[in-house]
Amino acid sequence: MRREIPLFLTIFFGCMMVIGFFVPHPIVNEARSRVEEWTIILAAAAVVLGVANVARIHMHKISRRDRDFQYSFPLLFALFLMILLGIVPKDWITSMGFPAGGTDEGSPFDWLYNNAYVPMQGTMFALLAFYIASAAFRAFRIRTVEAALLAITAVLVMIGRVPVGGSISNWFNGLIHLDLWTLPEIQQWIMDIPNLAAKRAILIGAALGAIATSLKIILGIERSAIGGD
Amino acid sequence: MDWKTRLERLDRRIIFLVIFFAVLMPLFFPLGLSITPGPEATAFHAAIEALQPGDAVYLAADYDPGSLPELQPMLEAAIEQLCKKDVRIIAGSLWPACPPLVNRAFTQIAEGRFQKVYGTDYVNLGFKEGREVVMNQLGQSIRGVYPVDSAGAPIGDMPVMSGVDSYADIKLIVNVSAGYPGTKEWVQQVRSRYSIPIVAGCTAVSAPEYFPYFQSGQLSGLLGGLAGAAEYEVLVSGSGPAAKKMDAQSLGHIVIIGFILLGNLIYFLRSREGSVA
Repeated sequence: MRREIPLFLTIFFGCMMVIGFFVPHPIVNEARSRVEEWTIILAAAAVVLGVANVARIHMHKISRRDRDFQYSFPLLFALFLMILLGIVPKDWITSMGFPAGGTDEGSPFDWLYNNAYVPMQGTMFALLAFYIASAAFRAFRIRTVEAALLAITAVLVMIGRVPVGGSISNWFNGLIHLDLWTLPEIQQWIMDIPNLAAKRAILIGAALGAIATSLKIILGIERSAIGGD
Repeated sequence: MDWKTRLERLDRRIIFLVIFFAVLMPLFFPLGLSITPGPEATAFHAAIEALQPGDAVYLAADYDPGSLPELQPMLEAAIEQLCKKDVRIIAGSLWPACPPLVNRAFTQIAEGRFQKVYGTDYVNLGFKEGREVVMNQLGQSIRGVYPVDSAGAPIGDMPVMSGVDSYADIKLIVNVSAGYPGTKEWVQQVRSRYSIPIVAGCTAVSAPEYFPYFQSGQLSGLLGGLAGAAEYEVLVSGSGPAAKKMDAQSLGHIVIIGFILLGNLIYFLRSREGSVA
């Protein structure tokens, strides 16, 4: 029964969602809508479960003194601090002299979001520019014809996507007194024709794969999702 | 040690410094390069321009502070154009860290520049967990999914929600997305099922993935990265924060292309030396 009940639920609800998509009858729609409401509730519960799991893993790491366990302290501190600031009654926060409580503008939660979370995430992504520049110099080697095609395309798209591409083209066309394709036009052609063809093929292939996998799960052929082989 | 070896062993901190100054200098000394809107940004602008005063628009903001430099200018420019068109804006998010960024844009643009009133002209419904399911459920009942806004106030009595409770009452979805759940899911779950027009702004890295949706007409407009945001700003107001940063991005791209060429030049010369030897 440990296998049969989850399998039955998967088949039942999977078929219901598929039928609900194609059959516009009010009863079918109502049933589908109700299942979707349950899904939202379950998803909210899963968030709580996720937080509990993160906390459990890091507490376990600290208790066992695993490698880099000291980084778990700030993680747990930040996790519980933000939860605490977000859920304690707003009156408690304002009674301590803060202008607002909860997640409202001016609350400690909001202050930490704007002055810690936003700059830290921005910094993490800003570092990419430096690593891309370093990787472009050290790792991007044109060793094959395919790599050469990739490099030429990358250079054309990179320069054509930014205003300087248009300026260079206009200057060059003016110099030779010809009306050649500009770099932004070449970039647009690359995006509209070769990129589109490749992306469409990938999208259609991935969609067919997703349909096949979904059918296998709904029909009980693929059982890894419910703990089977 | 010859110059090729020196360049080959170039300290990466020098590369970091070069890219740092290449990006920093144009922010202080703008180059003033002209920005020409492409067909995707023009279509995005036209889709909003076609709205009538009083129409309701769903603003799906699905990103977090990591994508703020690219996506926040798009959101702000979109809010500016929507305010100019005098349409009602109903904003929601499927990313937990996004609602404060939406609030910030509303405060600066809708309230600060257009004197729009919260609850009457716009509302921020906040974050809701559930991804694609939430997208579908909004087609049944917005009030059912979001009984209260991001501050906990009931949305049922708000004038902005008058006569609006599902996609049938929404004229356009404006999606600003940094990944999953985002533009692709809005097209797959909502555009195909409810036939509601969608315009989308996304990060530069994910833009190529959405070009097929734009060409097929499933997206009525598309903004890709900071360049897309800058093109859109030019159409909405002539300039803006993204347009000002495009000089920096231009030089950044040139420096990276320069490093690609330099790295390969050294590699080519080394290969020739090897083959001669």
